[in-house]
Amino acid sequence: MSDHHEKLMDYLYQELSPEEARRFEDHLGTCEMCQKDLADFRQLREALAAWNIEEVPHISLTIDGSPSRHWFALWKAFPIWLRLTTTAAAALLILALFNVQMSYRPQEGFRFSASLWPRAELPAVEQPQPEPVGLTEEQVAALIRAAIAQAQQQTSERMTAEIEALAAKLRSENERLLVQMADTLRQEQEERLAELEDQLGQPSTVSTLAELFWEEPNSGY
Amino acid sequence: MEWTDEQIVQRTLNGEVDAFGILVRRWEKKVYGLAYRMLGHYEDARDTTQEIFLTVYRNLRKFRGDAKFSSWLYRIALNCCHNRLRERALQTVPLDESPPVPVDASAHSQVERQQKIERVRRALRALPYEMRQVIIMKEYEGLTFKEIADILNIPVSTAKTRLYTGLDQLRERLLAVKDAL
Repeated sequence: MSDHHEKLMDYLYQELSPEEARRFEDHLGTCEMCQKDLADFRQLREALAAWNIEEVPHISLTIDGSPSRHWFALWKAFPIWLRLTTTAAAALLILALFNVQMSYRPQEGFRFSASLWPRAELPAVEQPQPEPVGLTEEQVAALIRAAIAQAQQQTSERMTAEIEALAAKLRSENERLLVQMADTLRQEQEERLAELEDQLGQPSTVSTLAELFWEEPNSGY
Repeated sequence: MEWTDEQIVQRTLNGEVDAFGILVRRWEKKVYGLAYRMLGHYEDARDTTQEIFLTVYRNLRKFRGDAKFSSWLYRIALNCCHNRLRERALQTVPLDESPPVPVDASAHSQVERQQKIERVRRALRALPYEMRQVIIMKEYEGLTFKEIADILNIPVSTAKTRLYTGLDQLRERLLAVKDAL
């Protein structure tokens, strides 16, 4: 389809700007085909326009508005305070239907639970009594003193036990060293004795021993 | 102040079911005219018009404000007409039923006028569906090429092409009948 056909449609239904219309009219003056089309289509439009529908049958609509739609329309007609009240009541009703339970504990925060069936009553559990709070300064000082004394006592006992253990260890070490020294002395004495016995078997040695263990009878005593 | 179509849609969505009646009264003549010219059958057009407005009502929440309500309405109307034509194609019903003739139609000029209308109606019905709907939207609904293109989701040039081709075919069909034009 040529551009002239599109322009012809625009011109026929007056959708051209004045400048475009003038230019197309210039074209029309030289194009017999477009002239014929325009003449035929204008005649055709007159024929089409004759089909004018004057009477419209009654259009009956059965809008099956859902119940929720009617309830919503009713709710919209309420004043604001009544809307809030009905909304809160509906919310409570829903919570009750689902057995919603809410609880709050300082350590755990809010807790929610829900069930379709009512839950059995649980036996009461004794909760530990919380420590009293809000001590006076004297009470706090006494508590601190008691804690310090207890710590000192524990430290003293621990040190005493360590000292005793160390002393026992030292005693044991001393005994071991004494036994070792005694053994060494005995061994040395035995070796010495053995040497002496060897020397006793020789004459020169006997006089020497006599000189060692006995005094001369005429030594002046 | 007169409510715009979009405002009436919003009021309906807000629960004012009666507000939808304003839309029906406002558009029923155009929608019925479109349906009747598309279908060429009086009862079909009446039933389809009801179906169009019910479809609009049920899908009102899908209407987005970024498009004109009229464009959305025409799109639904054409879809409903198309569906009705497909159903009719499977049935054996008289397709050339004329609307009720007024009581005072005995005058010669009135009869002659009715005959011309009948020829136009038959010629339109003989056109391919795509051309017929463009001619009806342009000639009877007075839509611009841009609006037609938006409704049918086609380029503007395509809308013009379909109109030219449709008018050309219509000319051939009507010129074949003596004194049709």
